[in-house]
Amino acid sequence: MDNQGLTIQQIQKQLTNKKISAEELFRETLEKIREQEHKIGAFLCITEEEVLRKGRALDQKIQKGASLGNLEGALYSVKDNIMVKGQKCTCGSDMLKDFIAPYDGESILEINKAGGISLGKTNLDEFAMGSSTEHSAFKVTRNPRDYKLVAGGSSGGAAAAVAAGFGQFSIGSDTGGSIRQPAAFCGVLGIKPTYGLVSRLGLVSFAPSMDQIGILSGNVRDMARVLEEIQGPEFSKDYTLIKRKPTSYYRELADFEEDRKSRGEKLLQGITIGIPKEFFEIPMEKDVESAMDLTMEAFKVQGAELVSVSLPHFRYSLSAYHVLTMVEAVSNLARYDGIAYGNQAPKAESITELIEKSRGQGFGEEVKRRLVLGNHILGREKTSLMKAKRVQELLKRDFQKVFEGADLIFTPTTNTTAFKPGKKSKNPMDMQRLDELTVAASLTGLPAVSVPCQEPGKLPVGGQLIANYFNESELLQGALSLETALVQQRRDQKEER
Amino acid sequence: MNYQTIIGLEIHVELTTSSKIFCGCKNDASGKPNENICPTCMGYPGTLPRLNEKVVDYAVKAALALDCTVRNNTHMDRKHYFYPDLPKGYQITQATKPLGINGKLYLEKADKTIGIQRIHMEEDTGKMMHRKESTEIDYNRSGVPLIEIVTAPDISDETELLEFLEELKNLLAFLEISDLKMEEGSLRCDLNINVVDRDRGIKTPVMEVKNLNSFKGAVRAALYEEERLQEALMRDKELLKETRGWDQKKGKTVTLRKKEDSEEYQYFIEPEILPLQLSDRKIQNAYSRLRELPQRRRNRFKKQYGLPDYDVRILTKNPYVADFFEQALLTCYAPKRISNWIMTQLLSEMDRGLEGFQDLALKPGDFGKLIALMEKGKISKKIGEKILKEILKTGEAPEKILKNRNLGPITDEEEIKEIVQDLLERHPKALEDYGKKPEKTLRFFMGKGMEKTNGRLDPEKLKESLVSALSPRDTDK
Repeated sequence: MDNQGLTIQQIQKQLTNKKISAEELFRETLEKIREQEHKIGAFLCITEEEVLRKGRALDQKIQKGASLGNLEGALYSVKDNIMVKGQKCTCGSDMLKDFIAPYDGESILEINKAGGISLGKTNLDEFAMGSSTEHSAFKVTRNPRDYKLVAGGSSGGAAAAVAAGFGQFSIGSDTGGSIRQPAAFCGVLGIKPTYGLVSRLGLVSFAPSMDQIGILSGNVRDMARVLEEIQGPEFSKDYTLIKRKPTSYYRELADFEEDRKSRGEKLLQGITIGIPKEFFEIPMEKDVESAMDLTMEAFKVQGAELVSVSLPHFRYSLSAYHVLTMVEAVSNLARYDGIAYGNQAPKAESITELIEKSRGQGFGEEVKRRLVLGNHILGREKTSLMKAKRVQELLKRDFQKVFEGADLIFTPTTNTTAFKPGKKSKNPMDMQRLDELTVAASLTGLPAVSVPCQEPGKLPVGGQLIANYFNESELLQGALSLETALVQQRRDQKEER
Repeated sequence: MNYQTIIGLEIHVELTTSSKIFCGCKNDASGKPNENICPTCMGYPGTLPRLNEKVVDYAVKAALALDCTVRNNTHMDRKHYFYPDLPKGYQITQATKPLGINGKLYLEKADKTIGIQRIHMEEDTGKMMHRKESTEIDYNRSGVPLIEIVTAPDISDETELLEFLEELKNLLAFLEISDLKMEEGSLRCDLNINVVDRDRGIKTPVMEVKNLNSFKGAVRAALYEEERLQEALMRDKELLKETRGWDQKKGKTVTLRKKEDSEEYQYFIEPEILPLQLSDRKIQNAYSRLRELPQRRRNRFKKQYGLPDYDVRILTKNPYVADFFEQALLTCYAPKRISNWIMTQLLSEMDRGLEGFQDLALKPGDFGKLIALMEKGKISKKIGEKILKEILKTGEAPEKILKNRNLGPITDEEEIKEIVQDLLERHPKALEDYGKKPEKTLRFFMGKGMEKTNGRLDPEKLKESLVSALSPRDTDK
């Protein structure tokens, strides 16, 4: 039986109907990993024994007829910059290659509480700095859609794992596009929620004013289900959260669909989607361009109204993003001195030398490059820091203006498709430009999701939807509509042929 | 020659909140090494600080007590430097917007006001312990809450320095926000000193002196530096700005490091802690909760109770003593007598001196009652002392002790007569002397009588009874 592509709800149905046991189901996934992982390299560690043990426990629970938690039966993976107690948390860095997490991240606790079972930790660019997972100290993750290509980054392992069917979803982190961009390259969904919706406790900081934990999944419904679990609770002293009432994303999504159907309305009837012209002025690969055209057609077919909008300060966003994040990185990576934990240089004459050598050996080139630049900005270019903050404010205003007339904003997630390793890593500027279309949502803290929208048979392309703060429900509705529309479109095209 | 010494202080005070400043760890640096630590105060990846509100309360209290303006809006900053006892590679402190600014502290003896430039909150670092072959780090102190108090360079000599330190310690003790043990590092003080040659209009660079672990050390270090800097001026010796350490054993300061231009700490706003907002109302509330400050209380004690300076100093040194004094007055308004009894009888009974007042078994009301018993002549001073000892042990009320322990005055005429008769029989020789030396003999019997009854006899009544017992012998003659 092929269980590839089932939603969590469908899996739970199979389990409770005893069509398959959890242990069998999990063995299928582990078998798939055994067959393909050596070609992909999504994981840094896999907890096979634990998965099977938990699978057997779940089977017993089902035998007893107990009701299932929201994520029970689902396997997931965790980006290796998020703490899972008792497991290594390397951040893809030699600096932390032997570091064992002494506690669980908040979102991991929530997922485990809902019954999700972790397969292991996924590969990433060192300390989440990079856009292709080529900057991992351990290995390059390959794209499951084409092993010759990169999976994107920094959550490359997470996107590859979901694309290869290694579990139902993956938890990643997104500072400037690190979930959305690899999701686009691998043809899966990736959401960066509103800054402050999901707790950051247990996520290793890179640039905490923009770091956000998010989800990669194979379908919108699973995404809604997981987001419902990891959103911050209403009453919490966790100040990485912005206080609000929790939302039932999964139910709201089902209600939305039900509602539209029962009224015989198209899914996006009455919805206005803003198309920001500045985003589309960035040169795009042909495949991306044609995918965008098709997607916009699909939106219209679903009843949406498309309007051209403008975000005048968009063009400064990439520079502002890099200035701000590099400066924050200098501070947040200062703790890796090799004293209490992490890589410690074996020989040193003095304390200063010990710290210098431990850091020199522990960090890779990309991290060092950003730390040097960050230090330079802090020391000599303070004005650019001020300017970057100003851009951030102006961009927030730009978006608010657009949201006065539009419910959602649509852009490409990236202007290219996945590329071969080495193509961009030689020139840091080429690599940075991969984030050009994703950093605006990071600078503003707005929620954004990347949805696969390539033409059939072509390399994956991601379309990015951006919503106003805490409008994740609308965002997911948009994503679901697009998912549905594209399936419909493909079916129609097949029929035409 | 016209030299002027200029001294400013940076004082670090460890706050005695129950938990650390950014995590739930017990705020106790003295435990077994690395006993009170967690991933947060160890600066582990993925952890985030959470500001302890109690720390803010304590800091606001100190700022208000030092007459500072408390800011409505402030935030925490990161101060970056690498050092093994600093686990995050930065210290969370307040650089650009300290909680309190523009305060002052008045020195009575010097009749001078010392400016307080700023008070801010920050976290303490771990502690390095250098062994023969290795260096060990104890992180118990990492994340212990501190306030740093920075004075203006207003202190001109060692007497002002000492008075300031004592006055400040007095004030902080009063606020009960720190245990202020210099030898254990919960009160630390750094000295900034330079000397100006007024005649020639030149001055030395500022020297920072660290490792001052007592007030005496601070004064000695100041004197040493003053002399060293004056000499340098005299000989036109070029000096560099330095951080120096006080070597207590050698009685001198030594170079720790020379300062090139100001250190680059790359301060920036701590993004993980929300900006701190203190409304005027909140600050006003904190102010009204603040008890009467020692200086104001001293002035009031002088005026209201007419007490001498010496008494006032001792009574107001510790807020509990001053409170005790005033509460005792409510039961028995005899300021000088109560003051005397606190300073002599009460303090001599207490092992820990003034410090012990906080957990005294003796209630101020009972103390007042005890003094009242003496004021009214119901008991002698000696009995009073005995009862006091009893109360300190048992916490019982003075009347009860008086009754139960047979310490009450003997008033019964018959009983007194019996005692007198007994006395006369025991000392026949003295009795014979009465005719020759009546005054001396009477005094002798009086003494014996008081001794025998532990002072429970009223001296007047005893004398009366003695005189009448002795008189019949006169008529016999």
